Amino acid sequence: MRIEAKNITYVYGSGLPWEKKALDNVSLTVEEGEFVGLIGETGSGKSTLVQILNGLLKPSSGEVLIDGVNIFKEKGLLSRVRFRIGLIFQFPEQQLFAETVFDDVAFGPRNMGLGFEEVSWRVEEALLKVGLNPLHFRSRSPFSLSGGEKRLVAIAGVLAMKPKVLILDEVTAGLDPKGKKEILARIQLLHKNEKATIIMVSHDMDEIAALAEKIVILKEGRVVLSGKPEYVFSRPELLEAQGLTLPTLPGLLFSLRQCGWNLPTAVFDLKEASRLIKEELSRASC
Amino acid sequence: MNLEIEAGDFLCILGANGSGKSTLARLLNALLLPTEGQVLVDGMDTRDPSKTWPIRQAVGLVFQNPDNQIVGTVVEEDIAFGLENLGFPSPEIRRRVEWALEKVRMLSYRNHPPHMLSGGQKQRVAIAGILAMKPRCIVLDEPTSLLDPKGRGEVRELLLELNREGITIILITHLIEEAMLARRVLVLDQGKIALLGTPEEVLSKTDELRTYHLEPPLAVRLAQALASNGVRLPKKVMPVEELRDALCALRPKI
Repeated sequence: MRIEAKNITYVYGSGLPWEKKALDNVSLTVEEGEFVGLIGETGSGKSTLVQILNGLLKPSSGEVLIDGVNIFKEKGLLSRVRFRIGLIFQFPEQQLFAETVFDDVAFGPRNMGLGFEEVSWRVEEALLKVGLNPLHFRSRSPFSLSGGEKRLVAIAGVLAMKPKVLILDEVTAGLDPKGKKEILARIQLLHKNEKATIIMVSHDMDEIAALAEKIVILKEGRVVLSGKPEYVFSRPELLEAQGLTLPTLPGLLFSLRQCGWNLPTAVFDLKEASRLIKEELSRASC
Repeated sequence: MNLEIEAGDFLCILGANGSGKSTLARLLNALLLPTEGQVLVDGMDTRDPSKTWPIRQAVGLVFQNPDNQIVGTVVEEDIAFGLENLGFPSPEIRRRVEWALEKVRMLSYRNHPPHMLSGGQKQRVAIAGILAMKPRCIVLDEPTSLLDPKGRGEVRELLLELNREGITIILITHLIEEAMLARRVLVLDQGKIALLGTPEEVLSKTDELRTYHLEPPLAVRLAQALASNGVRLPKKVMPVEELRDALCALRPKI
C-alpha cells in the first residue's frame, strides 16, 4: 500500500483570531514496507500530518492518495482507510477502557464486524506480536499493568485490526529506558518480519536515526529535509541552520569536523565512530 | 534506606520503573509517610502532623506532567494559587508572583492561559508555582520526560541556576544524561540504594548500570570505546561537549 500526500495545507481555527497554519504545502510519499521517521519540534505539525494521513482530519487543501485513490473524495472510503492505516496516538494507554485485556484488544476487530472465532484468534496473535503472553494477560485488567505493558496492550488493539500501515505518534514518550527498548524492538520486528509499513513520529533524533529508512523533517509546518538517514545526517549544516539538533553521535562528529577533523557525520554505530576518531587521530599525528 | 541530603546539594535519582524513585520523592515532603523509620526535614519529622505545612513549604514537589499540576486559567493566577492557600496578603502575593515568573523567564506570559503554552513553558510555570512559595528544596519527578529537546534544555538551565542560588535540587529522571548536571547521583534498585556518588563515580560503572536497566550516556560509552582503542582521555565521564574538547586537545594542530 502506497500513501501519497500531495500539497497538504491545514489551518486550525480558520477565520478566527488564533488561526494557525499547522501544515503548509506538505508533500510526502510512503512506499509499501517502508519505515519512515517523521521528526520535528513541538508544534511543527507532525501530529496533524499523521491524523490527515489516516483520514481523521481533512486537509484545508491538498489530497491524500492511497494506492492512487483520493481518500477524501470517495464516499465511504474513510472508515476502511482507518482500518487499514492504524494510528497509535500519543499516550495510547489513556484510551484503554475495557475490563480485560482481551476485551480491549478485541474492540477494533469486533467493530469490523468479525465473528467470535476470528476476533479471538486476532487478539491472541496481536498480543503475541507485542510480546505479551495471551494466557497470562488476556483476563487481567489493563489498569493493573505497568506503564510499558499498558502501552503494548494499546498497540495490540491496533494490530488486531491488521492494518497495512502503522503510524506511531511519540510511542516511547514518558516510558523508562527498559520500556522504551522493548517497544522499539517490537516495532522493528513488526517491520522486519511482517513487512509492516511504519511511520514513526518522534522528536528524539537518536531514536529515529537508529530505526528509520527514510527521514522527513518538519519545521513550522513545512518539510525542510527528507531522504535516507545517511543523506539527511550528512548535511548537518542544513539541519543546524534550521535550528534542529543532530542525533548525539553525528552531532559530536560534526562538531569535531568544525574543529578541522576530517570525519563523516552520518555514523550511528559507536564502534564505527570510535574507529574513525582513532584513525583520524593517528593520521593527524604522523 | 538511609540517605542524607545536605542543603544546597544537587542530587539526581536514577532507577528503572518500580525502583522506588517516586515513593522517595513523596516521602520527602510528607505526601507519603514512612511505614518504618523517619524522614527529617531540617529536623522536622514528617510524621508530626503539626509540621506537615512547614515541611511542604520547605520542600516543593514538581511532577512529570505540568498539565496535572497547573490549576489556574491564567498563568499568574496559577502561580498565586499556592500563596493564596497559605494566606499571604495580596500585595505580597503580587510581588512573589512577579518575582517567580521573572525567575523562570515567563513574566511576559503572565496573562496567557496555560493551555496555550508549549510543554517547556508549562513546566516552567509549574516550577514558578513552587518557587513562589520560596522553598529551600525542590524535588522534581521526571520534569523533562514529556518535553521536546528545546523544552528540556530550558528546564535544565533553570534548575542549574536555582541550584547556584542555593536551592537544593533533587531531580528524578529517566534521562541519564541529566545525571551529569548533578553533584551527586543516586541509583535506586528495588527500593534500595544501589549506587551513590559523584556523576563521574556512578556513570563510569557502565556494566553495573546495565544490571539496573540503565543505559549509560552515549558520551560515556563512546569514551569507553575510544579508551579500549587506545585513545587516552582525561576523564571517563564527560558531557558530549567536554568530550569534543578533550578530543580536539588530543589532535595535533596542522
